[in-house]
Amino acid sequence: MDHDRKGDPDQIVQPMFDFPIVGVGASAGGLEAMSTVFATAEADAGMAYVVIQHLDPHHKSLLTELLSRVTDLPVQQIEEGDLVERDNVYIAPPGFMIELRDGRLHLVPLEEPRGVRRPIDEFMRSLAQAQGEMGCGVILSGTGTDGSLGLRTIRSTGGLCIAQDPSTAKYDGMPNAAISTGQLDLILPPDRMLPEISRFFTQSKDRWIIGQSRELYNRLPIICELINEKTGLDFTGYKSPTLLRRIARRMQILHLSKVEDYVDRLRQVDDEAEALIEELLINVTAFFRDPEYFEKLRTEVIEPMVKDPASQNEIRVWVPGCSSGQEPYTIAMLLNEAAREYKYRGRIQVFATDIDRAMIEIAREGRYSAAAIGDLPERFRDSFIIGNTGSFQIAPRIRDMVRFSVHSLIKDPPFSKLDLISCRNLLIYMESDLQDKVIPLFHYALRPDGYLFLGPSEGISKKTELFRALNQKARIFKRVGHNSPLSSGVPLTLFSATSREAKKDKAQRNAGRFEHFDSPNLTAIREAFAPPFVIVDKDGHIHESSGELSVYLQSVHGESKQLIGILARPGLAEVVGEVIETTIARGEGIAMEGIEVTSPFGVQKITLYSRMTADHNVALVFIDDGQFKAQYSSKFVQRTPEDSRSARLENDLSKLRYELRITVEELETANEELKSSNEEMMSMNEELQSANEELETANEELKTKLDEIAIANDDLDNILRSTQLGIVVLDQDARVRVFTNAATAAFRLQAGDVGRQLTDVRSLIDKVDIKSVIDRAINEKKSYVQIVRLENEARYFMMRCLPYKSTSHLDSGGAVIVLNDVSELKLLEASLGLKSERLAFALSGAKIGVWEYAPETQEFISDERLLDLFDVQLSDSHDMEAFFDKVLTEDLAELRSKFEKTVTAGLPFEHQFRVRTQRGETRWIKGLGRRFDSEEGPRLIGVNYDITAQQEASIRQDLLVREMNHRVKNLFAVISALTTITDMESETKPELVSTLKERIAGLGRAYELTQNNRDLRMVSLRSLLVNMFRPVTTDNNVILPDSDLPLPTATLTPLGLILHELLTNAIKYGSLAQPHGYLEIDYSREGKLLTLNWSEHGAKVDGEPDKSGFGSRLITQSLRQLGGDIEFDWKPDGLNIRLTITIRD
Amino acid sequence: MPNFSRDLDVLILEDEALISFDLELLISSCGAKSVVCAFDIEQAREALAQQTFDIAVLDLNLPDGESTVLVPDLRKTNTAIVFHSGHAERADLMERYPYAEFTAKPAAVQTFKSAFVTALAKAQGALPTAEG
Repeated sequence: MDHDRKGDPDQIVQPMFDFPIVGVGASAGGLEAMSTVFATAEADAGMAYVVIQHLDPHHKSLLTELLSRVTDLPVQQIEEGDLVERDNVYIAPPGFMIELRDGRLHLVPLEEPRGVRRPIDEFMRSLAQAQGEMGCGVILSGTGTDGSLGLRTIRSTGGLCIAQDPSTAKYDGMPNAAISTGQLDLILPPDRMLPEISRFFTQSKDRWIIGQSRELYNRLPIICELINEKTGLDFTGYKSPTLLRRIARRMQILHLSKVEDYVDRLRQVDDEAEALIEELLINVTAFFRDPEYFEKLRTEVIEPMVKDPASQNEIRVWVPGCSSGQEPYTIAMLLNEAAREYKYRGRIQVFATDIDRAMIEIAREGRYSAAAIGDLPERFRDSFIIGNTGSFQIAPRIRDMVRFSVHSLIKDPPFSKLDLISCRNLLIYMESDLQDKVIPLFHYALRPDGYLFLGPSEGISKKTELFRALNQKARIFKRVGHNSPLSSGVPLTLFSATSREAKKDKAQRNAGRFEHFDSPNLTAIREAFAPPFVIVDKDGHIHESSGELSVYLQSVHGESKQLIGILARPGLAEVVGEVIETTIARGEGIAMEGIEVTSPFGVQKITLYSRMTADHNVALVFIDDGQFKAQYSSKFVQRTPEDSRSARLENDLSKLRYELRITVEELETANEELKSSNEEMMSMNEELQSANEELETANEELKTKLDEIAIANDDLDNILRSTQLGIVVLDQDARVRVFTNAATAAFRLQAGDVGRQLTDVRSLIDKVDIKSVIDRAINEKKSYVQIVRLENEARYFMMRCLPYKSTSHLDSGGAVIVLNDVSELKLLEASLGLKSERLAFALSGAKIGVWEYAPETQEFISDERLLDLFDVQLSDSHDMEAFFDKVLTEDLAELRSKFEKTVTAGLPFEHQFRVRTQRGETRWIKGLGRRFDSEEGPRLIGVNYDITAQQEASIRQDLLVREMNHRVKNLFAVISALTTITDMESETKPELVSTLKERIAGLGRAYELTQNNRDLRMVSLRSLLVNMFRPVTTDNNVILPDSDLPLPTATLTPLGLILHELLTNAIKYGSLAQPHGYLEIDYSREGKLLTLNWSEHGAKVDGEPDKSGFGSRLITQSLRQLGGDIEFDWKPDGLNIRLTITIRD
Repeated sequence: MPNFSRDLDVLILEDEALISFDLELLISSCGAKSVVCAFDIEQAREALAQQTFDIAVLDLNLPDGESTVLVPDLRKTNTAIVFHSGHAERADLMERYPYAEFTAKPAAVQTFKSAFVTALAKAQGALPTAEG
């Protein structure tokens, strides 16, 4: 559907249905409002209701159900082709727009051209066109602006427009948008809407009556005058039926039925005139209205104009009645396009005027609702507008082509020398005699061969001598003829007091002023036959005079005031004042006789009559009473004979007549010329005023821009001064435009170098070809980033060279060099590098494996050593589970639990656990970890190292300690047992004590072997013997073999005890008791059996002593433990003992 | 404190001969019918195969294992068990074998006597044990 194409203001729409149809539109928050509204619906109000709601097309609408519950009226969802019946509620289904056409409701699928979904606007438009004054639009709660355009159309066809009071709406966007159009009749809370609507339409019959009433027609002039007084706008030439209808409507809204009441309201209430204006000035205009006609305009007017050599300097266009500006912008766009196409280089000016200041301001801003984009041809949408959300603005280059100003077509002088006038849908407002005057005005304003473009229902008022039709259908006319018949003068004072009543009233108002009302004929008669008279005011000033007064009054030179008191001759002078006073006092005329007026020529007796005039002055009439008594003086000159005198007089007269005629003609000519000049002056004035207004606006804008620029400059200055960055800005030729202090570290720049090419300035940067870097940036638009070093110092900079980017239309090119001192960073980097290496070295030396884990992302990193330690494959280095898999099952649970605690609670992690390698080797590993919280989330970092050795040592140690404990305990038990046995064998206490002590000492010596022995399990037999013998023998009396045999440590106690007994015996009784006695030991092993031979020599043996004498019980017991045996053989030389023990490995 | 009856058969399992001897003397002095000394678990099993004992005095660590392996067999014959060990802290054993008595090396005569009595009582069910 086209926006407003048929929505001509004042198009009389015959309602399709004879009952009112109410269109209700709502969006968010509308359900509630809707319920309230329909709850007040009366069963037989005689209206039909159509409800449009913003719905998600995929959503089922609850509305039908909801409304059925609050009202008894039948509520239904619209189906294609539904008839509209009164007292029914019709609901639009989701996903469709509704069109009321040919008496039925039609479903139109919702499209989305550029995201425009305005179902409420669309419906309201079709409602306006179908029902005209029988239509009513209601906008309820919602966001956005849907509905405001539609309301305008309803208003323009005379329907009723209502918006929900924003303070009662859940979402006040749509109601506010509707209110801001100014096209509302009522703003109401939902519960009052239907009652008001019902009342309005019931009274609308009365409205028709009022509309046609004679009385309103008669009072029109007064109303127009009041409007003029209050708003300065003159509507007297507008079509009366329009005015009548609109005023009647206004009265309807105000519930006024008497015209006089409305006139009073207009007088007394200041805003009423404004409100009425809004009614009258319905500004329904749009871009490319009647696109096919604009297309014709383009091909038949605009293109020829642009191509025409005669208009190569300038093209001037005027759009009177431009309202909110869409039409002039439309024409500007077409002109711009054609100019580009045909390479037109001249100036293009579009003057756009309107009497409504508010509209001019809107037009100047050039901002329109996004819905209007659809009116623009596609090819213009990208280049001529700047889009925003919900609205767009005309692009600056189009806006610059149009000059807006407030201008009355009728009162103000027109523009001139125009190539095109586009005045569409303005003339239809006017009465035909007004139109008759405007068409010639246009003719005057246009150049020869200029064009006139009118609206579809307009015409040239039969002035075919002024215009010929170029395209009748499109209403394109071409100017013909040369001179303009501007007979009534410019400016056209078309509306000055031409109305009947106005004239009369004016006359009444002017009653206080005097007028020259006589024609020359009357004056002649009066002068000849009427008595001389003067008219004076109460102060004696003469305002009028007639007749020959020299007898009564003298003339006085140099007096600007003509006072009768001064001028009256003697005789009259004395009485005239009194007469005037008396006349005024009495309010009626008097007569005074016998006044003798003396003049130089004689005395005249007169009667003075006085009369009050209509304007409260006094007329003094001089009637001669008798003959004039002449008193001649010698000064008088005799008259010359009659004939020569008359001949002379006649001669003079003809000459005078001739001169007069010439003078008059010259005067007339001069007058005409002056008029012409005046017209031109006026025109120029108009243009200048227009231009002035535009300049002022531009000036304002420039001032603001200047302020902004000043601030931006200050900002820039501050930034440059305070920055540590070295910045050099170059123009297109690589000349320095701006640089900061810090840049001088890299380039030897001074203040005077601005304007020099940078390549002429000494660069301190090492190994960089500045010229080529700059070239690439400027010409190829390529950026350069590099860390560079200064030649002579260890200073590093991050150097960037970027192409210069411009956001304005000045695409100036150039480059920007930015230097950022990173010397510190570089040093830091180097130092860190060193530290890093040291660390790596340390870690590697200590074989410490490092890992890092991010719990949030489950990222895990490990190093080589860790992989080694856990025997995990390189491919699994990021898989934490692969490491956990290597841990021994027994140790795993506790490990995981501790790890978990570190992850969640941040506790320091420390644990020892075992892992098993592929080859089955078990290692002890110690793990340490910490959680660090960084910006990127928590991170766990830890180390692991092999503690197998320590662990094993530790275990061994534990084992050792336990073993030691055990041994010690055992030894105590042994000693306890030893005590018991020794006690059994000893007879005296001293004996007990000494034997026991010796035995304990012997045992002690046996155990000395274990002191430095690494191996806990084996001891050396030879060492045992050596140890045991040492205290009681010398090198000479014991012979030991050189070989050695290992003994289990477990044998130490029993064997030690046995040897001790044998030795004690040998020392006390055996060979070692003899001076030359000695002992020979020899031992061997065979399988598990160890044999030790104990041979004593040099002893005197007398037979076999008692075996059980010496510790034999001890020996017996010990042998039991050793699994051994002992044989005694007493040889003459000494005792030989054979000892066998079983070695258990 | 009740005395032993003279009908007790005692098994001593101890690898240190002197200690074994000492124990033997002690138990004999308390009055026992017979005392058998075993020096390792193998020997002990042999002895157990030959006869049942009323009391078994067991050193814990033998050359061929821990003497606790004999406990099930001893329980079957209701033999009173007295562990005699150089390892002081074997709290886990006390928990595991609540019907056994523990003495630490070296133990005085009195200690042994009282341990024997208690162990005997437990074995004969006169005293409740944790086992129930």
